[in-house]
Amino acid sequence: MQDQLAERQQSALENKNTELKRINLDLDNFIYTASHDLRSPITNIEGLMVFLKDELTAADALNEDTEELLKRVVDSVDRFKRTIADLTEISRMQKGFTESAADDIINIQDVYDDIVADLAIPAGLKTCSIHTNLEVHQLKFSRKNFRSILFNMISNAVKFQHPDRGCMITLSTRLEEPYVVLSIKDNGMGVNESQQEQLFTMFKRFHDHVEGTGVGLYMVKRILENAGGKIEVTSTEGKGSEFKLYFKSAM
Amino acid sequence: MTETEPAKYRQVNTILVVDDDENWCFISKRLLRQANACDKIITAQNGLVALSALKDLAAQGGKMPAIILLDIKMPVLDGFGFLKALESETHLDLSETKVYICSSSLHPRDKQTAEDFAVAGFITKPLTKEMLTDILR
Repeated sequence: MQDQLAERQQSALENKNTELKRINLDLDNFIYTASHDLRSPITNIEGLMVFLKDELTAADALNEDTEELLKRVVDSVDRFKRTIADLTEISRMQKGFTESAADDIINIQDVYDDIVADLAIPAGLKTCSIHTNLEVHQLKFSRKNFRSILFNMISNAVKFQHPDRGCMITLSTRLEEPYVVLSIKDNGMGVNESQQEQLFTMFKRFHDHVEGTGVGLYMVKRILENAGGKIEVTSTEGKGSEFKLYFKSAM
Repeated sequence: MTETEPAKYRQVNTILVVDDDENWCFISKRLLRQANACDKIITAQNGLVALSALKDLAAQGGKMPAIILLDIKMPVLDGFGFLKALESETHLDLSETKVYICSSSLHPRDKQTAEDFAVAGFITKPLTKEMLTDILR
């Protein structure tokens, strides 16, 4: 009797698992196809706009008004392209989990230096002073994913700096068995409590003074959780935020 | 990028553009003309139409296109179907034809499939002047 029940439960679980895998694959295919099919017309519009500008110039019809219209179409196209690129990135990330990205031994300082070297400060924002305090120097993790996580966290701290004071960021690591905790603390704009709940939702944005598509923190959370870690935030609106990233320590 | 800009590219005889997206064909044609890249541009909306265009060309004793810009996802006969079909068309002399896979986004799977065929390269749309310089080199 007991055996039969267990067997039935096992089989139900297996069915559910197969179904979930299928749904995941469908979703992945859907995102890929959607992003591909959306890209084609947007690419065409991009090319046609170049021709249109040529034609307007040749016809001496390029003036302040027409130029502004052209610029706005081009801007909109760029924005559309960024969203598609993010969708593609998410689907790539999703696939990365099923194909289990190989773990590397990462030197955190190296990755940090590399990121800071090509960190662009958006127009109108101040350069930030970043202080590092690394108690843990190495981490076993997919290098590509770790870089993507750290890049997102640092560039967020830069982007959401407070307009009224100098931007200060502290990056620290420490061991909190069974995790390596990476903390990114800033004195930026911060978010209120109700926003904190939605901070990791896909396509959710709380500020519009800088460019963004709202997938960064979603991706960070997904990558961490899929690797057995987690992310926590404490933030006060107007004061700043601290993000704590928990990586399963394996060393 | 004006019509009067002189050709900086090596000129080729014929370029075949295979794509079901009519706007893309329009854009490619215009770009190739502006660049003065070739004498003749043929467009085909799928692999089958492209195949018969090549056969027609051969029947008239014409030279095969120097370059084929090939989309992957097309109805009737897609890009890979076209490449597969070409393999059995042994009477077509494609020894001097370079095939470039042209797509708006390339799935890694597609890239892998393409490795089974003799393609000269991949082009991620949009086609730019830099890419033209590359493929006409």
